[in-house]
Amino acid sequence: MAKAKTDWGFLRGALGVFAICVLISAGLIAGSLYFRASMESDFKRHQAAFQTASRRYLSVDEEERMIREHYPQFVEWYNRGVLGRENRLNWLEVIRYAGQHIRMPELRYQIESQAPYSPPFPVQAAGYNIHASIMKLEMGLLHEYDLASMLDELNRRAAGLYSVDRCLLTRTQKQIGSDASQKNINAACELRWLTINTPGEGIVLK
Amino acid sequence: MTSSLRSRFDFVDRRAVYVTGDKVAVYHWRNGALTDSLVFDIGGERQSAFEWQEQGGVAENFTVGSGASETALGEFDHYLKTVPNTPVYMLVDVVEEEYRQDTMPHVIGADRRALIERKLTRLIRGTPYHHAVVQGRETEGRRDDRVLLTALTNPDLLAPLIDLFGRNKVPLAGIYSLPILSGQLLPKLGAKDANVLLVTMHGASGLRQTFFRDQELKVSRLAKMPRLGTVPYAAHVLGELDKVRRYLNSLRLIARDAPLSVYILSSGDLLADLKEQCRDSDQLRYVLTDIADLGRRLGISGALTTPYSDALFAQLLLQNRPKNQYATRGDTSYYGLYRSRAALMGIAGLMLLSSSVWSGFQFIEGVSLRQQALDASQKAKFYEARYEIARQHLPTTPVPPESIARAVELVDTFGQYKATPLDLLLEVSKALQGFDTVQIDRIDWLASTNPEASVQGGKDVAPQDPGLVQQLGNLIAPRAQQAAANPSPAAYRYYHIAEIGGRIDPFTGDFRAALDTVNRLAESLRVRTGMQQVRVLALPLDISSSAKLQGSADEETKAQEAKFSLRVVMGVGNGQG
Repeated sequence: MAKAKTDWGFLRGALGVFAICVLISAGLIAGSLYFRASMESDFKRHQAAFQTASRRYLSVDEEERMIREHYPQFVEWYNRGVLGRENRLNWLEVIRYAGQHIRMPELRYQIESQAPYSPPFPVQAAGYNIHASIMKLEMGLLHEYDLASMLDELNRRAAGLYSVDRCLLTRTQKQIGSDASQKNINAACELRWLTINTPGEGIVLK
Repeated sequence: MTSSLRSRFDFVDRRAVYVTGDKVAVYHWRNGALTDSLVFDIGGERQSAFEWQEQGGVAENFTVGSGASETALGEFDHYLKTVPNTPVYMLVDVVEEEYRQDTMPHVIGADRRALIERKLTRLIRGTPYHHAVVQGRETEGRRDDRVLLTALTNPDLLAPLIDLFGRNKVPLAGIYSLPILSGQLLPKLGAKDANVLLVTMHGASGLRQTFFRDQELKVSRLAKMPRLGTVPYAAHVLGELDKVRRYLNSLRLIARDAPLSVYILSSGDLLADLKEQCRDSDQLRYVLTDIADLGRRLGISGALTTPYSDALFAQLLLQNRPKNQYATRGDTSYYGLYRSRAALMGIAGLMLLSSSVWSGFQFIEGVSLRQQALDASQKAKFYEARYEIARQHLPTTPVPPESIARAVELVDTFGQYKATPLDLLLEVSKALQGFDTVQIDRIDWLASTNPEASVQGGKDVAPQDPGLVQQLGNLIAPRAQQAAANPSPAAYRYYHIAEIGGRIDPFTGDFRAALDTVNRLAESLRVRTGMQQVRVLALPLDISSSAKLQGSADEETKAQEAKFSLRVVMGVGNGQG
């Protein structure tokens, strides 16, 4: 007897059932996985919210201590222009006042645009943005104490925190003159004005 | 017990097709037991091969077609088309079956298969239905294997049925020899004698006498039987036994005086008649067995009432499902597909079940997580409410309290690094006291965390040229030399760095005195608080060997200048500045 040809049609129904079962199984697995993953995500979100809320509740006393200890200083730094927005108008007023008060023979200034600042030393920014504005002062000094007076005026009256990055003092003549209207020393200094603020709207005290 | 257990979990329906020279009987197996049967009498009307009592009633026979005009094969074809297409086990009980005893070298595996194939090809021709059973080994010589070769010598007998199976896509599991299958009855009968003749009567074929030596089939004979009741059956059976005894002697399968145990299966009146007429002798020992009893032992649920053993063999075949004996690969192609289909369905069911169970666990876990999420949400709301109540007596702040502390710390940190040149100017001013001839023309200052930073904005300053230090000789104090060559490691928060340019004025032309003044000024600076490094960058007169030095001995030295420059590094912070 000749060898019978394999009748694959015999398996058609079983293959159909198999395919349907594969689809159903895949659907079941995918659906249950999606459901479980979704529930797990919800659970983690709510659990995190719960942990945050409980931690906050338990830290109310600590928050009270922090506010009591640090908030006055915080407000002071805000009022002095270190926290929040920089106050350039105040700087200009102080510089003009200082120049007149000290009777500085010559005073020129230039303030560059504010830019993000990464200090060369380690700091914990803790979510705050640190910005700096470079102020260039060119001063004609009668003597070096005029520079000290200028910086002192800035310390006392200007809103903000600055640090002098560099300074070049050069004698203008071989012998120091005594004419108060004539400069004896040229001083070119770069001051970095620092401002600390939160992202977005920034710190606003009401 | 085993049979009962097996049948309890046997849910695969199947059929035994019992083929004789002129009849085809079908036995159905459902839910682990024989249920009903029908017989197709080739050229005649269909009739029931036997009936047995089942739970007090008569099992229903299958009915096919109507009218005597249909041929038996046509009815069988109609039957195959009508009933569920369950696997078929074909049991052949025909006269045209040949038995050959042979030996062959003892080999195993593929060599044995090849050797058997060659023997079958050489000894059995004209039929694809052949089978070989290795029955043991010779006790002498090279101890060859003893082989029983069997064949169905009239393949045309099966061809129409095989053709019908193929056309109806019937899964044929195998074709089996009734004599070979009958060997499975011996343990049930307790037939352990050396020479056993098993005698069974079959409604479809006749009287089957099968000879076993040491429980190994040697030869079998099928004799026609007259219709039941037309002649004294017991005498007829005993007459046939005489013939087969002579046949065995002629074949030298048994010695003339060797004892022979004759096992006869029968029932009812015939069994009683046989018991009366069978007389044991030295050469013959009769063992008469009631088919009904044997049927019960085999697990047949109904009572067998006829003397025929057809149902016993159908039970044996369908219950044990031995390995195929005669069917070719082409004959069983649909059975292979059937098994593949069953495997596919099984895998599909298993997959569906597994995925359902797994998904169920995932779903349960998901529901559990949802419940936990709800709990967490409620607890979060509870604590938030409690927090708001507790927070009411605290002032409103623009940032969270912990951020307030961070901001203050941040400002403090920047405050610690706040620099002005005034500190350094103050120290320089103090150092200059007593140096009336020193005039400072230029101070280039910067604040940096790097003590080697260049005030010119270029590369960082390299260590001082050791040649210059050497050339200065004793003009520069040893301490200053050491400090210049080995700057202290950074131990300060930040540094004031300045390059101070000046001159000796008035200068009398005494370079030695000018160099000494610069040297002393450097020493005076070094002792100031926090002074980290004082380095001479330029002297009033470059007396190093690498520099070009020229002038006139009689020129006015007053007109010359004695300029110098120093690099000063002063540390601030870390409790030291």
